[in-house]
Amino acid sequence: MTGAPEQRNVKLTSSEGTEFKVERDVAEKSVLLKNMLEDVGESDMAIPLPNVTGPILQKVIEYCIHHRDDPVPAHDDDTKKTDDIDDWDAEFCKVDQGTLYELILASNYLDIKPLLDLTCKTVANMIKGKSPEEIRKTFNIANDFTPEEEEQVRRENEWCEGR
Amino acid sequence: MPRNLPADCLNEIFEYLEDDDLQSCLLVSRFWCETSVQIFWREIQNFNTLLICLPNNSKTILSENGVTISASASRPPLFHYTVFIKSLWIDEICQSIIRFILPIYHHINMEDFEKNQHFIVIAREIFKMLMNQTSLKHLCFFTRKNLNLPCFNYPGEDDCLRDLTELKCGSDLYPDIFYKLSQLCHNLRSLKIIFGNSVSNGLSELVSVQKHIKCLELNFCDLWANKSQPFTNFPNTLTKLCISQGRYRIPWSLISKLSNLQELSLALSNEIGGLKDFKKLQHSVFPQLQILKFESGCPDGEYLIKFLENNGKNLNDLILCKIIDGTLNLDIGKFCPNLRSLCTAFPDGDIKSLKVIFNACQQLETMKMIFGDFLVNERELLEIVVEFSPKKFYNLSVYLGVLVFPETTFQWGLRSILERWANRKPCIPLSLSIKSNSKMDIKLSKSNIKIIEEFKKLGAIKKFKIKI
Repeated sequence: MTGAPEQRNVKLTSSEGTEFKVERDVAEKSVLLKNMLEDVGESDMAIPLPNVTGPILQKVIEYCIHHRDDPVPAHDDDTKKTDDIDDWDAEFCKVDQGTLYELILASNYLDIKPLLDLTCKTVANMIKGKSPEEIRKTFNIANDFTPEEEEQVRRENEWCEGR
Repeated sequence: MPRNLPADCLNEIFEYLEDDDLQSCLLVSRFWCETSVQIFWREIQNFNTLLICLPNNSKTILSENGVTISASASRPPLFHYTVFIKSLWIDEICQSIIRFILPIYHHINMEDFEKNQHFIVIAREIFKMLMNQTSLKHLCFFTRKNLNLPCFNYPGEDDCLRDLTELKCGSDLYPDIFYKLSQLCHNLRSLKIIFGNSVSNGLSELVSVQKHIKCLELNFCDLWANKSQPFTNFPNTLTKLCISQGRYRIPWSLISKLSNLQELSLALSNEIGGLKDFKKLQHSVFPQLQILKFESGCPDGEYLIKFLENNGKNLNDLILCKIIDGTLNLDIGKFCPNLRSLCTAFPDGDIKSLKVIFNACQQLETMKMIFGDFLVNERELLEIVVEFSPKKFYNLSVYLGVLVFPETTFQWGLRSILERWANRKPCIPLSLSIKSNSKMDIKLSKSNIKIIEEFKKLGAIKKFKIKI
């Protein structure tokens, strides 16, 4: 052992080439980066993240800094609740839909489970209680069913008495 | 316009939705439909649709038995719904067959269907498809009285049952079923057994062959005490054990060997001496025990204290709903210094022991207090919480008996007490709820409601609910 562990910075490069410096424990909130860092060992090379834009990477880092001391979430938790979002997280997710989508993609790519859960919960809450038409409007989705198909989906999945 | 999410992300989102929202997602677009249908159909959603999925030769057999599948079935189904199914409730399928296909028999008891040829033929075709095409995670099977229903013994059922992780069943299933399950399912994580008045052969074996089981729930509800003990051992992988005693004997000696137990939940019954019987567990040591619950009936004080002396050190969560002797509360803190959540009763209304608990349990975050029919001085209670509760404490629920508070309740200004809470460093927003069965109409005065709103805005209060 060589005394207290030294907190080294990690450099990340967004898709446009902007460089971000973060402390190693913050970067390691991402399982992808954690594995990479373990594989490469000590290195001053910036890690390129071609799938993540600068503004999104900035948000992701903001999230990881706020949650840097959180315990690693338990894996065998089957319950999927959407009403357990705390105030900071809720505020964090008050972004336009495009940004929210980008955050989902980034957290999926970087493998940051708590951020993926949070952003997915936020979208799930936007779906809840809405009719199919309202959902299409909210997310700007075109209805590409033929009328016959739509009717068949409805019929095959409707609930009858006692299912 | 946002770019589209790929299926795996959409799937993550849909995991958070309930069935009625998933049903809406199905109709949004083709892509949403293809993704959500796989989650929606983890359980059978529409019995008619299930019938449309039957192979042609099965459909022929059904029609020979007078069952015509609805006219719309002339088109093939949009999806092969059966392959999505992960969860089966056998009894419900049998009920559906009777209700949908054989309504003329709807007044006949389930037991008589064992011999009904129509039922047998149709059930056979449906279960043949299910066993052949699904890979189940959850299975539920309660039909009692040793009924020999035609649900098993089909090609493909090895694959269907091999990955089963959760089983809920009755104790008196047809014995062959338990033998079959013992052969095929070794990877259960969770097993819940509801006991009828008999226990079929093979049940004990099903329990003992499990290699990875974590959670075992036994509800002895209808089993009489004179029946012999159904189990010879419990797998030592168990981390959670819940037993509801009913009228049966608790297998104390088997429990005491479970060295990996993290959660023990016992619903003891005094009728059969369960509270005194706890004596047999008082000296057992469970080094991993974090959660201990006595939801109904609490063991005799002396044995409980001895047990806590041995096992209280690592407890995070303790529930003692029905303690009779309030002085027990004085010892809880002594033996369980690491509690984060505590539910206990104050049978004589004496809340001085609360101070002792707060002092001893410095990790305490949440507390439920259950009172008998005694007057409780709510002001004194809040004073103690504000003054003595540990740093991380934030959540108090109070359950009152009939007599509850004096009528002057909350006829005093809350301000000074809430100010003291707001001045705590750090100040975690307080959640307080007071509930009672009594008919007394105690409402917070307008000025108090205003004060509470003010402190909510300040972030000192999260919830302040009084329902009396």
